Amino acid sequence: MTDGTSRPIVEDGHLYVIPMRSSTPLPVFDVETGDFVTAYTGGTRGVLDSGRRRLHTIGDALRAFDTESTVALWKREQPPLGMTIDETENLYLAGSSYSLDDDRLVVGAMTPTAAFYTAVDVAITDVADVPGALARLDPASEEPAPR
Amino acid sequence: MTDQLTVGDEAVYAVGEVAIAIDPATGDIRWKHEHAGHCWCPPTVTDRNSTGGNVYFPVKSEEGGVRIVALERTTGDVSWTDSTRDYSTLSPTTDGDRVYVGVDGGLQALDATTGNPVWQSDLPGGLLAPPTLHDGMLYLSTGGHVVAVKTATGTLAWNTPID
Repeated sequence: MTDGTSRPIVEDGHLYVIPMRSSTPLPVFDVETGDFVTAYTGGTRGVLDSGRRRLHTIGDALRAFDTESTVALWKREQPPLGMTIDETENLYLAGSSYSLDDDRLVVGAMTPTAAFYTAVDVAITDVADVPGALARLDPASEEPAPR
Repeated sequence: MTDQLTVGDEAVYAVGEVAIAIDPATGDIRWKHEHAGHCWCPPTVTDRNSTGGNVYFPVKSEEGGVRIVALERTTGDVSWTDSTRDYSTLSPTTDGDRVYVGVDGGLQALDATTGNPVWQSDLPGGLLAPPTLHDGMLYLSTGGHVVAVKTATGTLAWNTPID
């Protein structure tokens, strides 16, 4: 299950509680009992990639964790929520939201005049593989988003 | 001001000072609903098979009160509104039969079709995020606690403090 909002996430018998501040750890609880299981470095949004058993947290940075070992896989600096990243015509990804689209973590935001998104390849396994610049989802699109 | 978007089965719904449904293929506006006040969160939309075929969202008035608005998903007609409690400005959660919304000091379940109250549950702290629905349980993050609430009755299944 992916989410991309501040709602708690339920997956594999665990409850992931998204913190309100990115400086606060993201705790995980047993969904049946409420017992504490573990905690990850925080983010104000969370996206769970069930297939890869990855947790992505988005706050002051974009981070990836292995949910089996709880090991941090990689981290990259991320513009604040809602900041302009790139211009597209895609309406679906707007709304300052995050979702998983095949192999990419898509980061979207919308302003009164345009919608923006960017995407990060989530298949990477090591911090050395993190690209220097955020990848565009549709390189052919150069036009501003419609109103 | 930035509108909040939700992608439904049949349309994209945007809510801010007005609510609109957008055709996902053409971008045409299918319907528009004007309401006094502003919505600050993404609307909640039932799927096409649910009984309560509505778009739900809270609207904060200029006077400060927050009401819940339910619009018919395909027409934008008002199904019901409720302003009898001071609701949270967070997105509601729905299972199609009921709508779960934060209220001052707790969580309120409303009938999805009529808006009539079903139960209210007191919470240890204010709601920090919309509830998550899973297997007949609602999971909530409140100020200093994580709580599981049974959707059938509103009773607490467990309550874990967070340090």
